[in-house]
Amino acid sequence: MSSVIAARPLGARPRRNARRGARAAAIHLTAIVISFVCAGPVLLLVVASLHDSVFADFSLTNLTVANYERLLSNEVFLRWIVNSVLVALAVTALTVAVDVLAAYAFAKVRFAGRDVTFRVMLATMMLPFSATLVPVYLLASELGMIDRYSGLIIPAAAGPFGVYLLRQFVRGIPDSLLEAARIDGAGHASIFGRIILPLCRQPMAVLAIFTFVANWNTFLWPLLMAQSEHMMTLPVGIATTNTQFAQNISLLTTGAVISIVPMALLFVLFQRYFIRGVLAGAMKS
Amino acid sequence: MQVDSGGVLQNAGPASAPGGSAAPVRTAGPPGAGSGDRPPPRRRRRGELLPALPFLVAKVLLFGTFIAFPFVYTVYLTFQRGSLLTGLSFAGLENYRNVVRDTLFHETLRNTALFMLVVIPLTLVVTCAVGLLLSSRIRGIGVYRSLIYTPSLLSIVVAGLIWKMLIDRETGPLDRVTTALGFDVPWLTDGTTAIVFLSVVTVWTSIGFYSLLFMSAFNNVDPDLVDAARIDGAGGWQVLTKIKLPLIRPVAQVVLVLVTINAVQLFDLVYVMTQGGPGTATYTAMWYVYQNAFNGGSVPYAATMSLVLLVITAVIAGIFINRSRSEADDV
Repeated sequence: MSSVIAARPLGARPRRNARRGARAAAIHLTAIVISFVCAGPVLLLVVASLHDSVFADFSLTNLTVANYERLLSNEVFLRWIVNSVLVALAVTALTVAVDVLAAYAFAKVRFAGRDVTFRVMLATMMLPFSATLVPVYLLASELGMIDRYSGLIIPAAAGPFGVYLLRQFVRGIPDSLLEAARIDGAGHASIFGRIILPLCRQPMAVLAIFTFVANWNTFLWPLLMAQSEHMMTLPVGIATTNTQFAQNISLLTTGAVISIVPMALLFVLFQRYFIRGVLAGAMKS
Repeated sequence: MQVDSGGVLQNAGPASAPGGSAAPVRTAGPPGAGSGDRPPPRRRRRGELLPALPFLVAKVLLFGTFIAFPFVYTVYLTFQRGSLLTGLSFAGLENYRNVVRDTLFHETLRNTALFMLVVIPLTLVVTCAVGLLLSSRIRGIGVYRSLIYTPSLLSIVVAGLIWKMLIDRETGPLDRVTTALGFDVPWLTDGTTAIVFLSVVTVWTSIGFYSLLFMSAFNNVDPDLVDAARIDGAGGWQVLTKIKLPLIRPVAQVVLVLVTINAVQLFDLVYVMTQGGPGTATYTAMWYVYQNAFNGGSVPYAATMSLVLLVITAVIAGIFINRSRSEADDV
């Protein structure tokens, strides 16, 4: 299509503009179609959630928020929301705190075995969860973590990704800066607190959003950990077939929409961090 | 990135050498340092381990407890029989022999392979094309980007719920459309169709994520290169295939590996959409592992399957990485 641009004779402006217009129109059209394919089903979900019926209803008439009122006043469902928020926040806080500490050690403190340890951690980044799933579950059960918040939270913060991400960043902080602080008598703790932490705010935010989103949506681990209804997170609750909501499709759709809202808000507010998180997530290999 | 991993590898020898060989390490330092952007020769101060500990202890404990130890324990379990309640006993290679003989495990591998056969090429082509689209500078591209990212905001559970609703025999809009067009699609009632459908839904859920990756890769292509090619008379298609695509190859490789790893582990969608059915047609390897470990099967056997699965994944990912590396060398 645009090969014409190369062959264009000089002074063919109007035709070129027309071509360009046609090209832009084609791009818009394609983008609209793809946007529809991606967002359309989600829109239908929202419509279905606005109907008070046992079966899915996608009509745009007789819309009601009855389902929302019902769910948001239901004790079990509210508990799922609280669990989801609590678990995702706690995993995020734990991950960021633990990882930024370790990142500093791996990037700026020289100790025997540092590179070996780091390489071992790095190597497990591509390790599928299935390879450790069974023993982690046995261990959690041994430690009495099943059906407890500790089981939902602590094992989820073990991954090496954050250390890798933050270490990359901390390595970029010039040694001269730390050396100057050291000459002024600063120890590791004060270097970490006064130089590293303030400089790491952005990558920590990227890691925080990445971790929060991943843990908000995660399914298999909380499915294994939550044995009783009141310890479930939203995805587990929605997917479990013997709850009081399972037989009512429009209630389920409402639950699903409610589970999307925080993610959508985060995305709207922190889009650039999402994109950076995606990039960092990919670079982990 | 690559410079860095190269640097780490370069130090692999010295770092793992026994303590007595400190002198050779130091002399080996400078040539290695010359090729990377690492600071000059490293001074090894063992005394630094103590101050490093407070920073490390939390992560090392978490990582050791919930990743390193469990992985080693998985390997240990594969040579055991029994359960934790009745007690484990050494079983030699029994589990491995069973894996080789287990026709249901073979079927799960075939199912997973079919799934991957659809998901991998479809994801690569679609997300690369969408990424290219999103990298074009037209008005309103931010809106499109947000809309296209929507599915990636959902948990797989919600995505499964949505698509189950869309194909519902009674009320599903998608089923109505295909029926009106004269196709009676056996969405989840025919084995092969079910797997293909699971594949398509999987691609749908990841369009946003991988497209953004490709988008930023395309955005990072040096515009001067493109301009230079244009001046040399290259058309749009040539610019794409001769300049842009080769330059984004590393990202494509990353996507390929990520998609592969995720595809082998397909579980969530099976749980919410098919529960392995019809029959065992959508039993994926991960689903079978789950059934064995948590729904009354043999835990050591589940561990063995997960390890076999890991080896298969590693081999496939390794092939992808090596292939694209040697191709890159040819260029």
